[in-house]
Amino acid sequence: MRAEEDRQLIEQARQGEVEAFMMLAKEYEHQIFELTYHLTANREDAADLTQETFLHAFRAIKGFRGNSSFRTWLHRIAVNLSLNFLKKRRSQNSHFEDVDRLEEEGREKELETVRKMPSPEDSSLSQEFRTNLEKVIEELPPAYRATFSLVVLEEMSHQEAARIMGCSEKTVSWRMHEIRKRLKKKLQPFLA
Amino acid sequence: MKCEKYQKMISDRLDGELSWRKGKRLDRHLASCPLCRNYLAAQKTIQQEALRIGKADYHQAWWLQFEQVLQEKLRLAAGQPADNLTAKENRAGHNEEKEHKSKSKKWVLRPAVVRALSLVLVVAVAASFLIIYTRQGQPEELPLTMMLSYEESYLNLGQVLGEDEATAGDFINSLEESILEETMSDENGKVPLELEFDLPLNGYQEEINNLQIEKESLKEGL
Repeated sequence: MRAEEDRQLIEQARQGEVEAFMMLAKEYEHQIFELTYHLTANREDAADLTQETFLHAFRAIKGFRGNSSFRTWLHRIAVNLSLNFLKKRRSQNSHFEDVDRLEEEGREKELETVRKMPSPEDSSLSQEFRTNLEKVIEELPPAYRATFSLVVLEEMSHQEAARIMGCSEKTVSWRMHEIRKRLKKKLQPFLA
Repeated sequence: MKCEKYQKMISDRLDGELSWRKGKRLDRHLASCPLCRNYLAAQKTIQQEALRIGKADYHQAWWLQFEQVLQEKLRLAAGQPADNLTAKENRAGHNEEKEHKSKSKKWVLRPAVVRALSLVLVVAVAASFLIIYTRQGQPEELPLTMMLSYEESYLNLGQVLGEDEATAGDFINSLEESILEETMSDENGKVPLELEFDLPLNGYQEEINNLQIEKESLKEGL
């Protein structure tokens, strides 16, 4: 039913009907915003990227052939725009430049810092755990973060995530495994 | 190595991607491996916590505004008259233009600027009269066309200076300097023209004060 409604709206949007496209946008704006927010960890950037995603989609809708669902197509645009944005931001931000080096050199040091943290009470453990979890997710390389957002937070299948990311399902599966290993390693002190 | 393989299966299971056959193998392994059971429990906790974070939703009002802006952008992209945006933009543009005009008007009408420009004109006209009428042995009358030409030039100069505050400032400074130089070279040692340096423009106050000090020291030096 949803797909049929989408198809009609897409057809109208192809004719340049802004109102029809707006109905599609209203349906997916929350999902796209959540995704861009997970990728950028910044509300303003997420809002800008969501606007940009819909604008991009509207301009390109005549080229949408319907091979994948509109949702997948829209998510793909959002991921590509976000990855480009992160790439630019990474080159501007030394924090991101150091991600790979941290992987190699600083992991032990970081873990040491985490280990030194005072053992929290059970009530505050969850909050502290979440804060650290957010930090670790934010430090993932962009493509990994996007994969994690799509699979875990957007609850997409590996197949759908692979389509959006433009890679194979096996790559998605391996990335998820690597991310999980890394998360567990970095959050080990809170998991005891 | 063996556990690594099962931990990959755990990851796939958490994503709902593990086949029934592999699931059976994993369950058998989990029954005998406390390390992997621990790994599974940890991953479940991480997954649960991850789902709780990152909710960045906004209020309905924010979304309404978001949609309004998006709709306006889409209309522009579609080449349709974006009523709201056009009206707003027109209003904004109009206001901006008005503001710009009033700003430039305000700037031109600033007392300090008016005084500076008047000063320039007065000095220039007076200097031209002095040059022409005090020439020794040449008491000839200034032709009217030349007078008008001078006046026109000074008006043009005033207009140019009126459009650029920085240029006007530089011009006034260099004029003051040249007058001070002229003062120093005066044969009688008197100041032929008493200039008003006290321009009440806050941005220039310090500079003006410095000039006054310089002027005083020059006078003293004479």
